[in-house]
Amino acid sequence: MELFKKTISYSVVALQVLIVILLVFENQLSIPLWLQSVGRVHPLMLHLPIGLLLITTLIAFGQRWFTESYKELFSFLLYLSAFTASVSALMGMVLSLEGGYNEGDLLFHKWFGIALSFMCWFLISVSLSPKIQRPALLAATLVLVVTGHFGANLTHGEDFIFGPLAQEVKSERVLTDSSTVFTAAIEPILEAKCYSCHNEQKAKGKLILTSQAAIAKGGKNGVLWKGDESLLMDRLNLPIDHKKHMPPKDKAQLTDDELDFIQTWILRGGNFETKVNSLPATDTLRLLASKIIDQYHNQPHVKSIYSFASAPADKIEELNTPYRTVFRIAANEPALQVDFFLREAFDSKFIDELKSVKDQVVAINLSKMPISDADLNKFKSFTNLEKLILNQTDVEGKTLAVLNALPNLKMLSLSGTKVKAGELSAFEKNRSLREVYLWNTGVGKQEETTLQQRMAHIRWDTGYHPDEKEKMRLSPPILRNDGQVLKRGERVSYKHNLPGAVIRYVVNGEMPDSVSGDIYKDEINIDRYAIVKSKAFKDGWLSSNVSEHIFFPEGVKPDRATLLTKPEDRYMGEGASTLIDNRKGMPDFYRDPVWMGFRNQNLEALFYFDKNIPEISNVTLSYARNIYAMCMPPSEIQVWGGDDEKNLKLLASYKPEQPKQYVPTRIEGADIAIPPSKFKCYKLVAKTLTKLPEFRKAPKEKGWLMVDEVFFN
Amino acid sequence: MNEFLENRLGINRRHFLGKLSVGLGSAALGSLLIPGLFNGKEDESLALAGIPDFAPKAKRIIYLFQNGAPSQLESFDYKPMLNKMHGQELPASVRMGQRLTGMTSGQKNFPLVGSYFKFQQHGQSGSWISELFPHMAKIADELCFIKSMHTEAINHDPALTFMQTGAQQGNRPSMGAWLSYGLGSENKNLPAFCVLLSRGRGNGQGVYSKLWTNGFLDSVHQGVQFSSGEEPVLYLNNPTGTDRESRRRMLDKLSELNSIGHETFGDPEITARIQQYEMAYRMQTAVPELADISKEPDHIIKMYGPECLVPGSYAANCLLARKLSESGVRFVQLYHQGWDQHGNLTGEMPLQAQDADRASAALVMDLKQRGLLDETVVIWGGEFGRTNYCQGDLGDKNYGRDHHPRAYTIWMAGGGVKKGFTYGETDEFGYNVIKDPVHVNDFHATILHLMGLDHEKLTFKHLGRRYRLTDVAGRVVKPVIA
Repeated sequence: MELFKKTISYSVVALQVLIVILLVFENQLSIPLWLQSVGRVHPLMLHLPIGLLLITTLIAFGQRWFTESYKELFSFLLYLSAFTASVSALMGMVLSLEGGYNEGDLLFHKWFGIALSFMCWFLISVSLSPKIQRPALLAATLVLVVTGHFGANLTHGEDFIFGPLAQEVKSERVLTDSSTVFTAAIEPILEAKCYSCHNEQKAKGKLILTSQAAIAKGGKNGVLWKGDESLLMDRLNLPIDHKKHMPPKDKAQLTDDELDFIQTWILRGGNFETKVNSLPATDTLRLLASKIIDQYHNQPHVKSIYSFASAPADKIEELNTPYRTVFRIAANEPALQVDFFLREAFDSKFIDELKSVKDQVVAINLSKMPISDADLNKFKSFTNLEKLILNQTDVEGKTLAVLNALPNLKMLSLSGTKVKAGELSAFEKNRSLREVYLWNTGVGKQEETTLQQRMAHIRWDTGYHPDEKEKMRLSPPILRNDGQVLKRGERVSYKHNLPGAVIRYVVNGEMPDSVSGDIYKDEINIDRYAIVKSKAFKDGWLSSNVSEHIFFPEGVKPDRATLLTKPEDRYMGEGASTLIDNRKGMPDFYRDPVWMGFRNQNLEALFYFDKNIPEISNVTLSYARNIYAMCMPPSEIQVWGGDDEKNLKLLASYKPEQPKQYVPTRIEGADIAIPPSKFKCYKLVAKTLTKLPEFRKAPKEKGWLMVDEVFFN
Repeated sequence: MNEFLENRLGINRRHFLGKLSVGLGSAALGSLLIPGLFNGKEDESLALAGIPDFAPKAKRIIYLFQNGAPSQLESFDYKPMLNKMHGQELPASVRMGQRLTGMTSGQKNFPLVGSYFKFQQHGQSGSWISELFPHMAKIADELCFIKSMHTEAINHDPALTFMQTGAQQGNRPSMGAWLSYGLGSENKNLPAFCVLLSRGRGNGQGVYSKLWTNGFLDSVHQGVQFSSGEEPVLYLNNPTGTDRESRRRMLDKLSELNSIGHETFGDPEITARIQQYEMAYRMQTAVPELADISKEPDHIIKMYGPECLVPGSYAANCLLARKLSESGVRFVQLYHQGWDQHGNLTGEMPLQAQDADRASAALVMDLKQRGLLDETVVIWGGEFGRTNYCQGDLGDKNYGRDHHPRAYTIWMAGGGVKKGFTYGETDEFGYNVIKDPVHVNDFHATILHLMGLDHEKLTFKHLGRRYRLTDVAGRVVKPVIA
């Protein structure tokens, strides 16, 4: 007997620990198959502790009748109860992991079961006086009964015992084509907001709303509606504080949509038989009902659209390459879409390889792939294909008839192919196609109309047709050079993206028109500061606006520079080197240290050629013209030259033209020709504009001189 | 141990230890059932397979972001009452204490301004569209207007960041990054999220790369900016003197070395890097083809307008967006700057509209004629609306409008969105939403829904909590979904 007790009590400890583990790690467990079978013995096993514990409890209370062998028998039974209870609990835990049970009941059953097994363990491991032991046993029995009750609910359902007494068994709401407005939309509202008080059991106001017959009958205050009169609507529409308002103040209220809908339904006679689908799509009742249906039926679980079997994941994975994507359209759908990419990499066997998933593919996009009429044969076996996009392929349409073999093909796109109207007759008998796209094919607007008449069940779309009369202004030529500074040997290059457009240009001259100016053929050679104006022309288009570009040839860079005057505090640049660093700024952002700003002082700077002394014939100062920001051309520029800063003579001076009205902001140059000379030292003086032009309307302001670079050529 | 207690419990130390060992043994047995017990914690969001939760209405998005906030009152939200009350003070009962920006807070009067531009109804749907947008008017029956958008921010940067990332402060993943993360790339030769910028002729506001950031998501989800120059994607071309053949050989060798590195260290970043090199190699073929518009027929140029021939223009970006989307790019994000008309509205807005109208409409039509519109969502709109009262002096022919977060209009077209439909309504002053408000979070939830994603399930764990594009709010606006 001792050995028995010992074995049992050790086993019970072990089982309890396992139960705790299962409890704690419940969400992370994976149960091997063999263990699932063990779990399924639970419904068998659980009857043992029920019987044993009941007997044990009875014996405990009937101790007097078992004087001789009471103790032994009692222990024996108690230990067995504890053991079987623990085993049952553990098995139950395993079984619960399989899922599929009513969550609420399961929760109670589980915790009461665990509590029971712990109580049993407690009963065998602690010696208690009979005074305590008996109530404890009774408590355990009580827990046992509760556990058993919830357990029975789980397997047999809540109404198992009293079920036969209940009159109606409600079926789950399923929406079908033949659902009536009542079952689809009225019932869900009643169930959510009325059933709790107006059912067979409670029937407040003697009104029962759980069946059609009962609704028609009404309650103690009479029928719910008759003609235009409606007791139901009266009650629903009473102010919420009114004693007779329904639903009562503290219960869930009907929404405005629900009220509108019920009212409309009643005004239409409150017909229980009207089917949702029999109402026209724009019918008020149907529109109102669909809101309710959405609310009560379209819950998070989205039904899948396709019912065919899915293809194995590894097979799908196998088919994916950089040039062919095969993917499930959604996690809950077996349907596949296939896209092809990169014409150069395409091989027609890429289509053949799809054979293994031919039953799942619903959409194929072959845009731009080099497939031809002969390849269309390959799609014949894709019986679930709904959408085929063949835009810009080499298909010419001779074999379109093979697509009639696809019973589900709804959409075909042939845009950008050479298909002609005649070949589309192949679809005359096709009953599945709904849309065919034919933009930029041999099919014109008029043929579209004919097709539409002949095959009205298909929507033919030839897309956009430009208004032939509308003349549009061509875009200006595009400069290909990176910036304004031309590196040594760099030539100016233009392009126009419209094939056939002609570019005409003029260097340092007036705007070109369609007969003047040079026609742009090769890159333009620019060796001095220049403004190039260009324009694009093409038949059928208006000529473009003038495109104007300013170029500064890079020239020879002086070895060093020094400033004789000080720029304004906020626009210091990076010192004198700013002028010869070949970096140019944006025309309207002067905080950038490539810019230097002068206002109260003129710009005076020295430039030195220390090593190789080049021959210089012109000097260009690059400055910003931004009339809004008062950045003006200098009023005068002088260039001085000599062997050093002390022996300079004036080589040239020049007064740039000042703008006479608002002109666009840009970076331009003041370009001065000097007699060709080889000096070691040059001085540049650029005077700021002391008085802004009249039109600027700022009589008291001085002009800014914003400079970013000086070029020597 | 106390002997009385020992007796009571029926155990002594030896028993206790004996039972403990049994307990430990069964604990060990139990642990066998927990496969991941000693593997550290795994985030289930990593299990995302790039498949939508349910059948999507659309597969791709093109977002034509009108940066700076175009005025809803001169475009789609027709308010004749403002013309009637032109110059009169905004009633306090309408303003209801709405805060002002620093730009109008000093203003003494708030005179109402009616639209300078005429409105007309278009299409069978009878949508009101102003004369500034004649081409959009032609496709009115394809568009779904949401006139009841509202946001929380009143200044550009936070509003723009909110619209793009679901948070005002930045550093959260952009919409495109979330979609790249949730759905993956359709075309493995191109990034899943591409960004195109253009500048209009009106008063502009900046855009920054934080708007197309991957935030805390993996960097492969970051938006790739296509530039307007000769090289649309920077650093993609082979260096001078390297041909495709030697590039291939170099990559093969590099990949061998990287594989050795991966075997040694097991760092998944190494495999990611190998894949990125391979993708860049394939992009070398895919991208030049996209940038080349010389093969587009003449009438495509006429459709988008000749500006599409100028790289970097809005029209050129719309055309490029169509090509990218057609090639399976999940999310193409355009930003068109210049819609911030605080003043000179009647001067600037026609220029902005001229640049945006034709090309936006063309994009919708172009997708349609290729049979792609039903799987692509096109979105057009800004970050907030503009006030119904004048900012600055109300002139005879000119005025300005300040920022207005309480109501603005956007439109959507294509994949799964109702056609020729208007959702939501503002009051007759165009100031407050009076019907079916759509918050930015709701807008995001709806967009994700159209793409087959549940906005509550698309999460990423970062700094100890799970983040969503809609954070803790958002509801799908079902009525706009076809």
